Amino acid sequence: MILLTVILVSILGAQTTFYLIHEKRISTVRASSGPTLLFALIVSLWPQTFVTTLQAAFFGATFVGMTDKSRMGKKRVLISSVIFALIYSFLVPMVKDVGGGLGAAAFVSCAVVFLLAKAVRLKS
Amino acid sequence: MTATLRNFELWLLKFLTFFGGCFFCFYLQSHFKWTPVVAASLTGLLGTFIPDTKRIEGAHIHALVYTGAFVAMGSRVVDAGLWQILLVSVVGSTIYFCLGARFKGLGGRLGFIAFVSSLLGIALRYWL
Repeated sequence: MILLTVILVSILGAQTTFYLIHEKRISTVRASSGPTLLFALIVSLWPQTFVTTLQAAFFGATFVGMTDKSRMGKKRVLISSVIFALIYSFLVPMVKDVGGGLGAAAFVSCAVVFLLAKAVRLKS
Repeated sequence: MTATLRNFELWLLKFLTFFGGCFFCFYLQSHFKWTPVVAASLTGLLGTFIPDTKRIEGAHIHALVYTGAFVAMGSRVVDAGLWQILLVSVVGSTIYFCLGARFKGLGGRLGFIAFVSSLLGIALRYWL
C-alpha cells in the first residue's frame, strides 16, 4: 500500500515539474520547489502516518521532472519516476543521514532510462 | 559592467551561494524545527528570487542555492555544525565548478553533486 502510494506520488511529482518547466516555462528550481511546498502543506493536513515519506518521495521525484526535453521525453520521465520510487523505497533508507540521497536516486533513475534508451537506439 | 567573471571570482560566487543555501536550510531546520523537505524547498524557492544579472549569468546561483539546501537535508552534516557545513560547501562548489556542465539536462544532477559532496565532506572530517 505504502509502495503504491509512493509510486503514484512520484509520478505526480515528476510530471507536475516536467509540465511546469516545458509547458508553462517556469524555471527548473521554481518548478521543483513550488509544487513541493504546496504538496507538503496539503499532505500535512491529511491524517496519514507516513506523511514525511510522501513529502520526500514527491520532492525527490521533482528532480526527475527537472530533466531537459533534449535528454528525455514525457514517457521516459514517467518510467524514471517509477524507478525512482523503487530506489527511494528500497535503497535510500540506507543513506538517510547523508544529504542529497534523494537527488542521487533521481539521478540514477534518469541515467538508467537515458542509457537504456541510447543502447536500444544503437542496436536498431 | 557586463564582463564575465574570472575563474576564482566565479568559484567564490558559487561557494557563497552554495554555503548560503546550506546554512539557510540548516537554520530553518534547527531554529523552526521544520522538516528537511519543507526547509530545502523553501530555501530553493526563496533562492530563485535572487536577481540573476548578466554579470553573474554563468554562475547558476539559483541551482547552487538549491544544491546547498540538499546537503543540509542530511542529519550527519547538520548535526556536525557550522564547520562541517563550511567544509561541505567548499567541496560541493568545487565539484559543481568542475563537473556541473557534464551532466547538464539530466534530472537529479544537483542532488547527485550534493550527495557526493556530503560523502566527501564526512570522509574529510575524519581524515583532517
